[in-house]
Amino acid sequence: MTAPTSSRQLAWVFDLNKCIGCQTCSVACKVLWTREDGEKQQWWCSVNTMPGLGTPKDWESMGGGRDPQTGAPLPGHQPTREEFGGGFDYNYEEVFYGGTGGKAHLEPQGPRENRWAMNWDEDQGAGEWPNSYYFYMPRICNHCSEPTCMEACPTGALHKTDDGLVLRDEEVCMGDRFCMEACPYKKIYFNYERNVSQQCIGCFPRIEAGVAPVCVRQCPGRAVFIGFLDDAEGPVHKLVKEWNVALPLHPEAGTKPNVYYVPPLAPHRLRDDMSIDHDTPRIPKEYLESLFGPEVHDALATLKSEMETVRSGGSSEILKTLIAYRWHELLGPFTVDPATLTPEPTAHQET
Amino acid sequence: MSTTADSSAVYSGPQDLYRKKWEWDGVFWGTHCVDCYPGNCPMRVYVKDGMVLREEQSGSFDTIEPGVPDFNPMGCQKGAAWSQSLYGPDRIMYPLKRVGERGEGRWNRVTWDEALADIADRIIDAIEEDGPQTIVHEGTPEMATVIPTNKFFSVLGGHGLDLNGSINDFSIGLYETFGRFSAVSSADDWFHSEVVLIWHMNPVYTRIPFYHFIAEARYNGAEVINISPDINPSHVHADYQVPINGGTDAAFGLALAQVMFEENLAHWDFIREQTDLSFLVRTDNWRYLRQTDVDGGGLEDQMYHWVPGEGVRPADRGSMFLKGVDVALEGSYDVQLADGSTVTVRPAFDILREKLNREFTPEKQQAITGVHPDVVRSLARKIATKRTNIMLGYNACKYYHGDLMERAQALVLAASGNWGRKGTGIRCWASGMHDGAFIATNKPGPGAANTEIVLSGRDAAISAMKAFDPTMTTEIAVKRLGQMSMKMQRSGQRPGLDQRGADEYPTGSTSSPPAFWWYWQGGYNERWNKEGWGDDSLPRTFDEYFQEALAKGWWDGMDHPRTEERPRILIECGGNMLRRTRGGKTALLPTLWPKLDLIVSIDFRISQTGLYSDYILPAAQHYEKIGFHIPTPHLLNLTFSDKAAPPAGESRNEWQIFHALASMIAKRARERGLEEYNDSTGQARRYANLPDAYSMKGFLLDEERLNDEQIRDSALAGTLPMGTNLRTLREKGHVRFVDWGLSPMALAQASPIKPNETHAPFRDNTEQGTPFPTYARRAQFYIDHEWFLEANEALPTYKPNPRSGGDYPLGMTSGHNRWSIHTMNQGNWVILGTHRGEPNVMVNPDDAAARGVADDDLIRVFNDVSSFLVRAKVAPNVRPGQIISYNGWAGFQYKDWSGANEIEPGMVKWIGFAGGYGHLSHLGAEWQPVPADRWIPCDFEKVQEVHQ
Amino acid sequence: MKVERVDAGQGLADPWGQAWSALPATTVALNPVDYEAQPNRYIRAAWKDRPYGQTVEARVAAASDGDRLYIRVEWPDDPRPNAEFQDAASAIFPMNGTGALATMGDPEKPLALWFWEDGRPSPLRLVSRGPGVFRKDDGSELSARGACNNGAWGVVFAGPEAVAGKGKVGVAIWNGSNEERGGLAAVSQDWLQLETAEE
Ligand code: SF4
Ligand code: SF4
Ligand code: SF4
Repeated sequence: MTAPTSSRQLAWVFDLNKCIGCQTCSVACKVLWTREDGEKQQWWCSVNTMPGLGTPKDWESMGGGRDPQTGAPLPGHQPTREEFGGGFDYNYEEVFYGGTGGKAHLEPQGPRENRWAMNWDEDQGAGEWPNSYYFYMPRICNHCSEPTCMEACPTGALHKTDDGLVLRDEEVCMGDRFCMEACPYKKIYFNYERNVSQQCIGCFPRIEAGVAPVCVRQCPGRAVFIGFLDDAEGPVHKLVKEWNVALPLHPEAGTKPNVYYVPPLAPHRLRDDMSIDHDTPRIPKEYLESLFGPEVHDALATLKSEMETVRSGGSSEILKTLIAYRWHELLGPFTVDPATLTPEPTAHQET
Repeated sequence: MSTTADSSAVYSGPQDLYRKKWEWDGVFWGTHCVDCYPGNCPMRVYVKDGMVLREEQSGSFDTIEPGVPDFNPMGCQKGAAWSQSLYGPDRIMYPLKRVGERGEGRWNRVTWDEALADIADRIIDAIEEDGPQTIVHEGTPEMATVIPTNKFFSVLGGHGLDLNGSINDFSIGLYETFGRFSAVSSADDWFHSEVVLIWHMNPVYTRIPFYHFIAEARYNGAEVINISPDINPSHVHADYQVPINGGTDAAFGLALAQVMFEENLAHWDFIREQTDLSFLVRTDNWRYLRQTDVDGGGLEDQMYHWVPGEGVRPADRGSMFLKGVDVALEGSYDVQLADGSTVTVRPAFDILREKLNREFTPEKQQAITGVHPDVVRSLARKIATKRTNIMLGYNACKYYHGDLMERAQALVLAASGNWGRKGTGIRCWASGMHDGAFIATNKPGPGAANTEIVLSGRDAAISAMKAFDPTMTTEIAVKRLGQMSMKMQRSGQRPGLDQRGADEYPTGSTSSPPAFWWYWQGGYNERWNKEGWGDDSLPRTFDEYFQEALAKGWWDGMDHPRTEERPRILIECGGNMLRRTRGGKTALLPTLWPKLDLIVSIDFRISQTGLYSDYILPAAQHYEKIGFHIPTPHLLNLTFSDKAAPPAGESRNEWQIFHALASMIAKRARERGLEEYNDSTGQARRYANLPDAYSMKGFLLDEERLNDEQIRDSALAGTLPMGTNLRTLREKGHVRFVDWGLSPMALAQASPIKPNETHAPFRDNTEQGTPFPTYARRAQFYIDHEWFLEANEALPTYKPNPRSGGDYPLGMTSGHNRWSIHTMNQGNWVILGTHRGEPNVMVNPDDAAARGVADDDLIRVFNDVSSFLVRAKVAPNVRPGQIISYNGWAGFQYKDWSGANEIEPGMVKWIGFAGGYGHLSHLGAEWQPVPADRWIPCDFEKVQEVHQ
Repeated sequence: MKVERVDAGQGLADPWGQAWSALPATTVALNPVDYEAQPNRYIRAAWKDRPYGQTVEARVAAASDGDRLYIRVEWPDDPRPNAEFQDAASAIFPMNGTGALATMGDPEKPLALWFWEDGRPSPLRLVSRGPGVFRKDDGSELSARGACNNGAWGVVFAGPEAVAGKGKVGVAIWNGSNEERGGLAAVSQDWLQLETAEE
């Protein structure tokens, strides 16, 4: 197939050295977009503790993506309702008003076995105390440049917009879910009520109004940048193209994702006698390589040497960019305050 | 603007579905209570068709200090989903009256009038039979709730339990050292740090809106060190993780100081000037050398330095500056006393150093803490040469010997000269500054002229104190006035900062540390006296100390209610006693609950205490009333929260609820032919006056006017810029404070507020030499109170965790979770989707395997106090021997409604009952016995389940 | 196949109702939709070695009440459970006189599908230009009801009588237990001629 073309490409950079796994991005996205029936389980933006099985459960083993040699899309597994998990209902009535006197407690309803949820393995991580390790990774649809979701769809419901977003026409979507199988990131959800698949819409109604997506604008960690990849003056371009400190996740999946990550540093390891081991990284190199490819080592080396420079009194453009002294630096060209778009004058109304 | 050329062409047709989701017709400012978390995040609340649709951080802060990142976009996931609890299933929409037994979970919907009439009748019964002080409340830190509640209790003459004594957000060791526990940098000041010690805090969970300043400080060259037994979430962006043995932090801190002293890295002049370590201590009785020793009279709290070549010299009580005088930190000197005898004295530092060298070398601390000596040495060297900030939460103070930990932390800062400069200090939490909120609701009547009466009254009281002792700072004067007022509260005299002006109606309630409530009403006397549960190294039993404290009158006026003073009515407005109290229902249901004639829960949702109440009255939620929710120095802004939507269902705001109750009491009293009653001070109060006294003749019921006047009064009091009012706030959403006002917590900052600088506390102490409000008027590391000497705690030291709860192999720790502010967000369906949706405790894989427990298994956690059932979450970041029960689950989320607090014995360290010693005297939120709940001995076992 | 003339209100909507047991049905041979024609290489790769469309035959009956055309399809249910995909069926009509059933039409000769799916609240009308290459069309005049009885599905489609005049019908069956959707189906080998009953 020929790669779909867009005149420009929007891209996100998540700085994993600032992300604290707070889920504000995911919650903000949910409150805005996925509150209706059939959307309860959906987390277009999700944050997971890595290493971990994440969401959907064990998504990294579910296939999809492209063959590195031929570029042909690879078969993948369609994540199931159970693998996404979550969306629990609760027995509020029974507990509060049912007269059980403590015999019923508030708990998620439904089967217990194999229970899972978006952030089920939060803060579990890997390794062994005191050298256990983990970090947080937010994930959204990567708005790939060569999206397998789009290629796999028989109805042509998916489009690459002029801004490079991958958007679905839900009127066309038949709910066939080949896209879910083909996406190597498993960032497509199925709406069992409406029989359509749904995924991150890049907050396009905001983008077109000049307002940054909520996962960017509401991130209190100031960890998320958005911008056009070709904007040579923008931080996204510099971090990705110039300094190579922001890397795509699972580049080997071959869909050319447009969400990039500043890879995580971690505290030093401890030796058996509890002295500091400066030589072995806490997060195993192989693990990071499995996520970001071999480029991760250069990216981390760049970050470390820049931090060394600053600690010894020097200055670093890269780190200044990541600090983002002014919040607007994170928002790219999308700096409009949504409150200013309120139709009526915002004067107080007696309620 | 967007660079999208023609967006409608790009996103067309069916995508309108999503455009419609992003449509609203009104926008308001909003914020939430949230101040165990920073709070005050300015939000925009989007409204459609009269319902709150969603909210989004405003991102409206300007840069304060050039070169420091701004505060945007302050918020967290709880705030970003607050709207989703407004109409949720745990929201209470109308008044509920219990049917069946308490806690049975059966309710009748009743009208407001039915509920209030019954409550009013029982209040009148209690007043007539035992007096209004038998009506008790506990409360919440949230201003929009606490002010109307306090006002009601003030006009009624009821009794309050000191909130901070229950929740133990009291850094007792910092207080012992600095006479303040609430000094806190503005969060942007963290950016200036070169070493960030995350030490008894978990900012990745608990400082979500501000955490970025730590990450950014790191990019700016700071090193971040996370000190915690488990590899907790705040390790993620640290450079070093120090996995310390649980509760041994004092030894670690003392070793850091030891290295700085022995390697001559210490900031000696800073120590001489800022601390009491240059004060002389007698080696015969280990008391300070005092003026009463040297002159045979004079001041008991006048201490001395040793000046080489000169001899003893009185320490300046009015200034800490030494003005070039060289004072000894070491040596042993003979001093002649007034009675002619000679005594050998040593500077406190000399004794400290000897102790550290004897007990706390890096090698010796390793045996206690498990931390390698190299780690201690390299870290001490960094701290000594770099701007160091200790990120401390209310975690250390929740250990039994937490005060010792905090005193050691303070010593680390003293040794390295790390306070009173940007990027330094030890942060905790503080409130205050919105003085107008209190003035406006307590002044003689509306209007600026009445405000002036209050303001000049405050000034006069402070001036009088200063005239009495000219070395007093304003802070000391305010504190001493408050402390005196606490002691005299039952005499009917109130020498404090009376903000009321003229008494058209008599007002005033009493309050006491809840420790007395627990001891006499909650059966805690048994637990506190249990052998092995407290500090076994003491020569006397708990009760011997307790009785001595009472006998010495240290708690006069506050040691209530005693056994014979049966509390009759508990009104919880935002409070949640059964969840919050360590010991929970295991402790309180059999003891306190049967004594209470009536329990009323006023809340916007059903709480654990609500479930065991007699009435639940529905309150308005944050977006349904105008208010301000706990301004803090972290942000230094007053953040405005508007009424974005009408209160849901039949809920009402607190002012309306209490006014309706006051009116109903007046009505029922009239119907019963009752006119007057006496409060606990003997003052007469008239039933008929209650509604007008409460509402200040209606003034306080006008939400717009009340809030406007509160803001204007803060401007008049000088804490907000002149000209600030409700209209200007409604425009801008927030305004930065320009001064501290007179609340002790705010005065504790002891620094100027500069418009274009971050705030670092204690600059007055370092830059002006302003004395600390301690007994010694210095940062006090030597506390020669008789109990401290008897316990071998005059100097900071280390003591092991007692076995409070029995002898068990594991220790349970806690801390705020990521997902809920206390239990407030537990009914939020969006937030429930961000975790397992029910409580768990985190356990180490080896500990789990040894007990045959797998992830998500049901386990029973138990000790000698009680037990609870919960799911296990097996995580390798948990230290072997530790289990972590993050707090913030409601009891009713656990089987049998029994949560983790059921196994917490609720021990208080006996030393909290000490008194009669300068700053060791109670004032609201300050000095008092506080409950410990960290590293509770316990074990767990698998519970067999039948899967349906 | 004869379109039996019945009176309105004879309970034709119920696939297992009396009305249908009296009417004759035709057994129709089904084949898997053409593999090579599957619309993209993802689907071809994923289903290369995976059988689909294994339902070998269906029984089809037709009736009309003068206003609406009723098509009943019956085929054996695959009892294996699948929580994700539902069984589905279509009655297929040519849009331009004829079209290729084996490929579910093509861009030049699209087919119209009346599409019923277990659990979907109302049927869809689809325009099909290849296996799974569907576009939703106005299906508001359609109704459908399906029920499983003794190990067999019975589905009744109903739509405007006008369609019947065009003369041809085919059927397609999707086995949800085998995760069939889109162009992964069993489709009738040949068109069935609809013969409108004599007045
Ligand atoms: S990306 Fe931002 S909002 Fe999302 S989890 Fe990380 S820090 Fe929180
Ligand atoms: S991440 Fe998945 S869903 Fe998103 S564009 Fe890429 S392939 Fe498609
Ligand atoms: S861009 Fe918008 S829709 Fe996509 S994940 Fe972010 S917030 Fe959600």
